[in-house]
Amino acid sequence: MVASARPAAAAVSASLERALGDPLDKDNIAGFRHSVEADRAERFPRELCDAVFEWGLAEYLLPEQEGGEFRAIEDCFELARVLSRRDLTAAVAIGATVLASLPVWLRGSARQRRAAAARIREHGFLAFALSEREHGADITAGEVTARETPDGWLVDGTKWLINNAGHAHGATVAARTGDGIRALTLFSLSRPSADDGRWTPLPKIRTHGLRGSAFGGITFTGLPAADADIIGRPGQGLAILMETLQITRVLVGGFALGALDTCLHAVLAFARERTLYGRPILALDAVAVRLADAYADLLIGEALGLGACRAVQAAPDQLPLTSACAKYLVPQLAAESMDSLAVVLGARSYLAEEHWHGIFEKMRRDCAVTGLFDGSAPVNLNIIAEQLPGLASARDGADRDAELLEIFTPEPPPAAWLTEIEFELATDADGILRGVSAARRVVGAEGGTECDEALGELLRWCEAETARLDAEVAEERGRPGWPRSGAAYDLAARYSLLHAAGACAWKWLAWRGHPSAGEFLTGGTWLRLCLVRITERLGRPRDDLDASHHAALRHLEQVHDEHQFFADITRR
Amino acid sequence: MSTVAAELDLALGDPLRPSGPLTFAQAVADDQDEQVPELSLRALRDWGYQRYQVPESVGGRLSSLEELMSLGRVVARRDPAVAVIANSALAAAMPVWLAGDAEQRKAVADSVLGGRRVALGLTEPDHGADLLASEVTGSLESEGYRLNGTKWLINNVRPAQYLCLLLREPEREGLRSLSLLLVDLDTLDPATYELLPRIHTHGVRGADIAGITFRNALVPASARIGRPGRGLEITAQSLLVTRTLIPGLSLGALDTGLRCTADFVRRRHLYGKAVEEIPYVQDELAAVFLDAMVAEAVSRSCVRILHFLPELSPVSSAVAKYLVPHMAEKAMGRLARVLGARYFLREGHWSGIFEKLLRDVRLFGLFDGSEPVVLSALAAQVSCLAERDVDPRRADDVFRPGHATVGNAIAPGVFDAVADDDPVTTDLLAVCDALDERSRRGDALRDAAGALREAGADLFEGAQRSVDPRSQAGQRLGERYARVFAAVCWAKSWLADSARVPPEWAAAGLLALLRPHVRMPQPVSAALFGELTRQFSHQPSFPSPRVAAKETPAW
Ligand SMILES: Cc1cc2nc3c(=O)[nH]c(=O)nc-3n(C[C@H](O)[C@H](O)[C@H](O)COP(=O)(O)OP(=O)(O)OC[C@H]3O[C@@H](n4cnc5c(N)ncnc54)[C@H](O)[C@@H]3O)c2cc1C
Ligand SMILES: Cc1cc2nc3c(=O)[nH]c(=O)nc-3n(C[C@H](O)[C@H](O)[C@H](O)COP(=O)(O)OP(=O)(O)OC[C@H]3O[C@@H](n4cnc5c(N)ncnc54)[C@H](O)[C@@H]3O)c2cc1C
Repeated sequence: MVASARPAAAAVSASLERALGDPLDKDNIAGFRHSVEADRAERFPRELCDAVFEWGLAEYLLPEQEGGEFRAIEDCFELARVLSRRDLTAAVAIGATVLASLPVWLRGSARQRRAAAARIREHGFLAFALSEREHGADITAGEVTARETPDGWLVDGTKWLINNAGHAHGATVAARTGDGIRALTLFSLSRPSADDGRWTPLPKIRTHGLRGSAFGGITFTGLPAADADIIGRPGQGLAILMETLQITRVLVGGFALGALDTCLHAVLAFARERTLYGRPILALDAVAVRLADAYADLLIGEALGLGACRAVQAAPDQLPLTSACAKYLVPQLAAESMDSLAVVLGARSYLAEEHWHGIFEKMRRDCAVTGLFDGSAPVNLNIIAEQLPGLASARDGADRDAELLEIFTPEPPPAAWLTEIEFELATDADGILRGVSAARRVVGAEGGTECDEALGELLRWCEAETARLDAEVAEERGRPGWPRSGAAYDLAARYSLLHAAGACAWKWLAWRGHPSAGEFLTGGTWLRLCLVRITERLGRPRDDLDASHHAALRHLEQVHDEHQFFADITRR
Repeated sequence: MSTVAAELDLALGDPLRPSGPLTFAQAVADDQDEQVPELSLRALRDWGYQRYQVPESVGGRLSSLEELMSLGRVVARRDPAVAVIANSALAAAMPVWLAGDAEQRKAVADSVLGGRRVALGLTEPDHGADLLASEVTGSLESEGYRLNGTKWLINNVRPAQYLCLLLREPEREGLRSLSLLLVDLDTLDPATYELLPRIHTHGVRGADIAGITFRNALVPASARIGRPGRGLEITAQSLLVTRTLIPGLSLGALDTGLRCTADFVRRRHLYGKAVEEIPYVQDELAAVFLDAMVAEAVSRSCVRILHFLPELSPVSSAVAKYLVPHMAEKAMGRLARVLGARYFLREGHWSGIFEKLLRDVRLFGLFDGSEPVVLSALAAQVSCLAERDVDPRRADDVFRPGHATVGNAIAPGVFDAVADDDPVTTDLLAVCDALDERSRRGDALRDAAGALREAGADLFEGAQRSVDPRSQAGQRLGERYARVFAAVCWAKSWLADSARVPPEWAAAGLLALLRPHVRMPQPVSAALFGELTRQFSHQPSFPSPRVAAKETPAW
C-alpha cells in the first residue's frame, strides 16, 4: 500500500484489508480477540486462513505462468503486512508456504509448478524443510539424505524446527546427495496420502510466540522421490537456497512492519485515553518521544523494505547486501520499538487479555521470530561484515544514480520475473547508500529553510560516518577472527543503519515530486524524522522533540483517526 | 553470597533435575499451566523462607536486606515467579513494617510466619503511577472506615489474609488526602467485597494477580497504618525498600540465562567447531558477564545504602530499580541472540527455562515504578548534588568488603522520601584520583577515570539547571544521574576490594555503565570469556558447596 507503484497492487492490499473487517470487533475472526484466544489455546488460526484464501489470496501467491497475479515481490510484501497486522501466526504459516514455493517458481519444472499451484489453490500449506536438530545456520552439514537407487531416490532423516510440519501437504526438502558445496539437492515432495510411516510429523514444538503454529518436525523414512521431484539439478540445492533466501529475507520485513503497525495503533490509542496527572499521557514528553520514535522506525523499515523488494527484480546485484541489511535491521527496529512502546503501555503490555484484547503482548512475542528464521541476526551481520571491505573501496559510481532513483519511484515499470534474475553472491558497490550523497546535493542546491538546513547537516553527518566506518574496516579487517567478531558485527549493524539512511534518502528524492505525496513527505520533514532516528542510533546527539517529531505525532493521530495503515502517510 | 543464601541454594538441589520443586522443568510446567507454583512454594516454606520475610524485631529472621536480596536471587535463578510470590509478603507488608503499630506488626508477622500471603493495593484500573488520583475511598464514620471502589492488578489479593490498602479520605485534600489501611480479609464481611477474576500475564504466569471491589465494606479505624493522611508518604518510603530489592530478582534470572547460554554454546557444533569458538559468541558472552558483575555491584551498594546510609535511599533505590532491570533485560536480549532458535522454544535445552526467564524479567522494570517514573524521581533529586560540602566517609560502610549484618533496617522512622545530599556521587573527583593512582599513564583505567570525570562534569552541570522531571530532558538527566551514581559505586567497590577484578575489567565496567554501546577491547573480552568458562566448568549448574559458599562475581 505504501509505495506500491501498480495502483492495482495498492488496491489489492486495500481490498484484503477491507475484507478482514474491524480488528477490534470481538466477533470478527480476523479480529484481535480471536487471534489472542487462538494463541492462548495454542490453536492454529485455521478460520482466518480460510477466510483469506476465500478472499482470493492464492492467486496472489501464484505466478502469471500458473495463471496467478504474483508479479512483484513488493505485492507479496504488502499482503504479508496487511495480514500480519491481524495475526502473525497465520501470516507466517502462509509465508512458509511462499518460502517453500519460491524455489519451485525460481528453478522448478513446469510439472512441479503446476503441482505447487494446485496445492495452494486448494488452500493447502507447504513446508520448507531445511533446518535440522543438530544443524542450524550451518546448512551444508545437514544429515537428511537422499540415496539414489535403480528405482529413484529414497529420502531418510529428520527435519526439525519446521513451520507447517504438522499440516503440510507437501514440502520443499533439502537433502544431502553428495559432498562439498554440491552436497545438497532440493526436492519438491508430497505427503503420501496413506499414513505408512514414510512421512511422520513429529509432535508440535512449544514456542514463545506463534503458539498456534503447526510447528514441529518431519521424519522421512525411505520416502521415495523421483528425478522429476528434484528442483533444478542434483547438487544445485545450496545455490537455489541462496537465491531463495535473498528473496525471503526481504519478505520477512513485511511481517515485522505489520506487527509494529498494530502495536503503534494500540499504544497510541492508550496514550490518548489514559489520563495521569490530570492530562492524557500523550502530553508527557516521555510518552510522545517514544511514539514518534517508533513511528520513525516504522518509516525507516518501510523505506528499506521497499528498496529491497524492488532490488530483487530491478537491481539484483544490490540484493546480497540489501537483503541482509533488511533482514537484520527491520526485525531489529520492530523489536526495539515494541520494547519502547511497552514502556508506554505500562502494566498493560504485560497483560494477556487487556487493552485491545491483549494483542500487544501477543504481537511482541510473535514478532520476535522475525529476527530468527531465514538467517538470524548474527548470520546476517556476518553476511554484511564480509562485504564491508569490498564496499569500502567502492564508494564511487555515481553513474548508476539514475537507475537507483528509478528503483524507489512511486510507479516503477514492470520488472523482470524471478526466473530471469541473475543472482550474485556479494554486492560490489552499495548504490542504496549513495542516496545520502544524492539527497545532500539536492538539499545543498536548494537550501534555505530550517528543515533543509537540518537535513543538510544530517546527510553530511551520515557521509562522514560512512567515511569513518570505512576507515575502521580498512584498519581492522586483517585482524585474525575479525569477520566473525563482535566488533565486526557492531560495524555491520552500524552499516545497516547507514544503508537504511540511503534508502530513506532515495525514497524521498523519488517521491517528493509525485502528485500523491503530501507535504509531510515533500517538505523534507519525513526524511528528517527518519535521519534523526538513524543518526541517534549511531551516536549523534539529538534534540528531544523537534519540528519533525511534532509533525510526526500530528500525522500519527490523523492516520489513527482515519483507521488507516500508518504507512499510508506517503500517499497524501 | 551470604551463608544463608548458599544454604538455601544447596537445600533446593540441582535445578536441572528432571522434576521436583524449584527445578527448571517444574518452573516451565507451572508457567505453561498458569498454575500457582504450589509445589515449589511449599518447598520454600518447608525450608523456612517465610521467616526471612518478617523482621527479627517481630519474631522473624530478617536482619540483613543484603542477605534477603541474595535469598531472592537464589530463588529467582530457578523460577522468578516463585520469587515474586515468596517475596511479596515482605514487600506488600512494608507499610506495616515501616509505620504500623506494635499490634499490626505482630498480627501480620504471625500471619506470614503461618504461611499466609499479604497483598498491597495501590493500583486502580484508571490510575497507575498517579497515586494521588486514587478513587478508592474510605470515609471515616463512627464505626470505622467505609470502603468503596476497585483496586486492580493486585498480586496475591485472592489468597491473602492482609491487604495494605491505599485509599482516599474524602474529607482530606492534596498530598495528605490518602491513608493506608491494614485490611483483614478473613474478617471482612464477604457481602461487602468481591474478589475479581484472575488476570493473565505475559510472564510470571503462575502469579495470582487480580482485583478487589469494595461496596460499603467496613473496617475499624484501628486498621489505619500510621497517622491519617500519611498514605502517600508511607507508600513512598515503602517503595524505597522494594525498589532496591527487586534488582536481586533480575540478577537471579540473568544468572541462569547466562549459564544456560554458556552451556548451549559449548555443546552446539556448527561449521565443524563448537559454537563457543565463534569470536562473536565469546564477545557477547563476555559483555553480558561484565554487565552482570557491574549490575551485581550496583545492586549490592544500593541495598547496603538502605542499612548504612538510609537518607540516600531516595536516590539509590531509583538507580537500582532503573538500571539493574534495564541492564538485565538488555543482557537477556543479547543472550537470546546467541542462543538462536533455542531461546524461542518452551522445551528442550534446560527445559526451555530461558524463554520463561525472558518474559519474567520484563516485569521487574515495569512494576513498583516503571522506567520513566523512577527516572523522573531521580531527576527530581538532582538538587542534592548541589550540596558540595558533604563528608564522603558517611558512605564508607556501604563499600566495605564483607557482608552487612545489622539489625532493624526496616523500622519506623528510618526513611525519608527525599535526600538532602549525595555523599556517594559528590565524591566523584576523589574516586577518579584514586583510580588514577592505581593506573599507569595511558592505560585503560586512566581512560575510564577520564570518562567518569567527564560524565560527572556533565551531570553536575546539568544539575544546576532546573528541569521538569517529567520532560524528556528530565528523563535524560535522570538516566545520566543513574549511570554516574552506579559508576561511582562500581569504582568505590573495586577500590575497596580489588583482589578479584583486574584493573582492565574495572575500567571496562566503568565504560559499560557510561558508554553502554561501545564494545570493550578485544583482549579484555577474551580474558572475561576465559574467566566465565573457568567458573562455568567449576560449577555448570548450581549449587555447588565449593563455589556457592563464597562470593563469586555474577554467578
Ligand atoms: C518459529 C520458527 C520457525 C522456523 N521455521 C523454519 C522452517 O519453516 N524451515 C526451516 O528450515 N527452518 C525453520 N526455522 C529454523 C530457523 O531457520 C533456525 O533458527 C536457523 O536454522 C538457525 O538455527 P539455530 O537458531 O538453531 O541456530 P544455529 O545456527 O545452531 O546457531 C546457534 C548460534 O550460533 C551462533 N552463530 C551461528 N552462525 C553464526 C555466524 N555466522 N556468526 C556468528 N555467530 C553465529 C549464533 O549465536 C547462533 O544463535 C524456524 C525457527 C523458528 C524459531
Ligand atoms: C504482574 C503485575 C503485578 C502487579 N502487582 C501489583 C500489586 O500487587 N499492587 C499494586 O498496587 N500494583 C501492582 N501492579 C501495578 C504496577 O505497579 C503498575 O504497573 C503501576 O501502578 C503503574 O501503572 P501502569 O503500568 O498502568 O502505568 P501508568 O502509571 O498508567 O503510566 C502509563 C505511562 O505513563 C508514563 N508515565 C507515568 N508517570 C510518569 C512520570 N512520572 N514521568 C514520565 N512518564 C510517566 C509512562 O510511560 C507510563 O508507562 C502490578 C503490575 C503487574 C504487571
